[in-house]
Amino acid sequence: MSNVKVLGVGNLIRQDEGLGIHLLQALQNKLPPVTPSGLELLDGGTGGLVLLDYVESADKLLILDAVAAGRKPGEIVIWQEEEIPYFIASKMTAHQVGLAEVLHWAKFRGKYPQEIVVVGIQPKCLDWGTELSEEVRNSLPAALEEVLNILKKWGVKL
Amino acid sequence: MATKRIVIDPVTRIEGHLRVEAVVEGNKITDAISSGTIFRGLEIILQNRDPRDAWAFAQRICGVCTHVHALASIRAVEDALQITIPKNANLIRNIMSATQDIQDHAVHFYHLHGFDWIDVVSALKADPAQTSAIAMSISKWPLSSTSYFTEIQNKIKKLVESGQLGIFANAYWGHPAYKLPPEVNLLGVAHYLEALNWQKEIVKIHAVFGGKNPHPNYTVGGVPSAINLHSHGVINMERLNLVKSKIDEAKTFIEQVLIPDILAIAGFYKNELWGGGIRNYMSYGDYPQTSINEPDSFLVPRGVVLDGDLTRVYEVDLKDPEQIQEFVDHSWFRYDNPDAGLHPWDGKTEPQYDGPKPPYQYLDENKGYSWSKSPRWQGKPMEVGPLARFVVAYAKGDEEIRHLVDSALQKLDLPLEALFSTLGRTLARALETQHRVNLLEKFYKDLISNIKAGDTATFNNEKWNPETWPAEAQGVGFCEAPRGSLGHWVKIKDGKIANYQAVVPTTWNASPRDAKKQLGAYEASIIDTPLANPEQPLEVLRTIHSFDPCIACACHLLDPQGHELNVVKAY
Repeated sequence: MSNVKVLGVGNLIRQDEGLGIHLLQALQNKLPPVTPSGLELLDGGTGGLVLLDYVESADKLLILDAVAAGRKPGEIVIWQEEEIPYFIASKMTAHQVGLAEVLHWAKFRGKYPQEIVVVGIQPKCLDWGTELSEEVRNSLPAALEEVLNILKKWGVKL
Repeated sequence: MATKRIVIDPVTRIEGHLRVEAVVEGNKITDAISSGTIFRGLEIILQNRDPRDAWAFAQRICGVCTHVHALASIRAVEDALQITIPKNANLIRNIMSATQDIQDHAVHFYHLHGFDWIDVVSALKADPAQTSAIAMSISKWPLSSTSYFTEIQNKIKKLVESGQLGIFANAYWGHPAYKLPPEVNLLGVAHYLEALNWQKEIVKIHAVFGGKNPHPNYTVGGVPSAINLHSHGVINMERLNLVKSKIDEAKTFIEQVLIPDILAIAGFYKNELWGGGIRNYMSYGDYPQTSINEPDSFLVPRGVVLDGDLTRVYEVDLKDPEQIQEFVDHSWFRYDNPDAGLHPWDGKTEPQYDGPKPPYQYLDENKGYSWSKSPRWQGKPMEVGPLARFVVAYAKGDEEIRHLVDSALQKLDLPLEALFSTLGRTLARALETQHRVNLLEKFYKDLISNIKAGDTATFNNEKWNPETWPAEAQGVGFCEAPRGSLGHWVKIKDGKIANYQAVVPTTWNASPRDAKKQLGAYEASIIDTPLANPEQPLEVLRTIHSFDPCIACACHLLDPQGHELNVVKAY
């Protein structure tokens, strides 16, 4: 089986900005105590370039993140391949070396994973705080289902 | 003479959001304002929480130095509760700090600041054979063949021809302020790519001691790293050997790539010695050999140097209510007495935005214009960071720092005075990696010999239980972060955080002016900068980047629509 990595990113102290990490934790709670072989999970937090190694060493990469997709708050968005913006774009982005730039680097260096999927949720509130908005919280179970389906499709034995 | 006002917003290749407005007369800058345009409200979120948890929140202030905020936070709580830590814990924290400095400085030089000096597009015109000859003349680094540089050049060519510059987009390629010959530009780009490979190795040290990276784990009372040389799942000999190999790799990279590069590049810019700014330098000091409570044991010394006068070093006391104060005259915050300064223990974080309604053309420097406060030491603005640490250490007679500075300046044939400049700031940061990798070797050796002597303690649990705490306590935690002096001040009441204030390095450097109209470090450093082309203020970016700004921040979202980039606009 190919090597599957799940990367949750976001900031836990900016409410919905941290939804990727909340989703990652929900996934971890769903998994057996010993993570299935070939699967790896990482809380990438607010990391930038330090995530490059993790991204480049994946065959299949699943990214969990808050996405500014212009949808209704709480709406789940799934992107694949060319839909994934590989360069930093958003004015809401405070980190200049963010995840999008890391993906760009991996591509430039010829170490892009065979397959990348982003499971994102449109955030509602990015204010200071540790609680998710109600809309995003209500969407987590459905987003988790999507995550599990993708992992199953990739051959992870859950 | 006619003046015009140029705006750079956002300043890119930094952490966070920063806006700079500069008044230009002819081709020279005569006034400047620096504005932090995002609000940092960490202090609010920490109220009433368990002080032992504060580090986990504090480290999310930033995605680059995830170590330093956690460290300042646990040190603040330990200071308040008078908790001492075991020797191994102090050594491991020092190893974590030095690792952070090295990784951060190298990434800053190559990936954030390098393209202020290196022209990527010019590298296409280089003769790879000449680049190879230059590389071999300055270093014994093995990746130096003509075919290697040809391959790199082809990679750039492919990228430029594709029309999708990506990471190389939005720069002033071909700007007259670029001074390097094409061959050196090619060398710079090659090492930019190599640094990318290397930086992801060095941070493995954080993962060993902190369990993971980014955002390693910490604990009040020590470090969360159990040591047993012969056991699995803890810090054992295999893990320690990995750390040693990463230290060795770092030393080779610094000595054979980073330092030769900075000296070669600086040689072409050595006549451009503006950007000195306020010339007041401060370091809280760090890297204690014994305890953080004993500044005399610090391997990075503490002190203040005023007005570039190296004959006198002033003492710094972070607990003295008169020394460090924050003012809000020109910030979007509210104090009961708007003209008074507040010591961070009594600090307030009440936002009160009175700036123009966005989108706006200009900010008004006579009113509030920043989310950054104005911290002052004894009423004076300060510069913090690698240059400040070097100036303080030099003035204090630190032999290793003096040797590093003197030999670099000698190679460049520059006087000591040249340090007080944009170039000096960038040079000091590079030289600091050499200092830190030497420290890494020392701390690693000390750690191994202490463990071999039978001491495996990493955690002191005497005061872990809140029942052992006084009803009220206050403390300050500090460290020298890559970008400069970082302090966290905490007040604890009935086991909970009653007040928390962080004064971060960039708050010192990016500070707006104060009631006495004293400019902050960025603002002062831009003044008198000559611009080759005011429409493309490359020289301003160079100076701002030389401080390695981190407008402590922290949100990132993917945006599928906007392939619009964060453009540096100059109006």
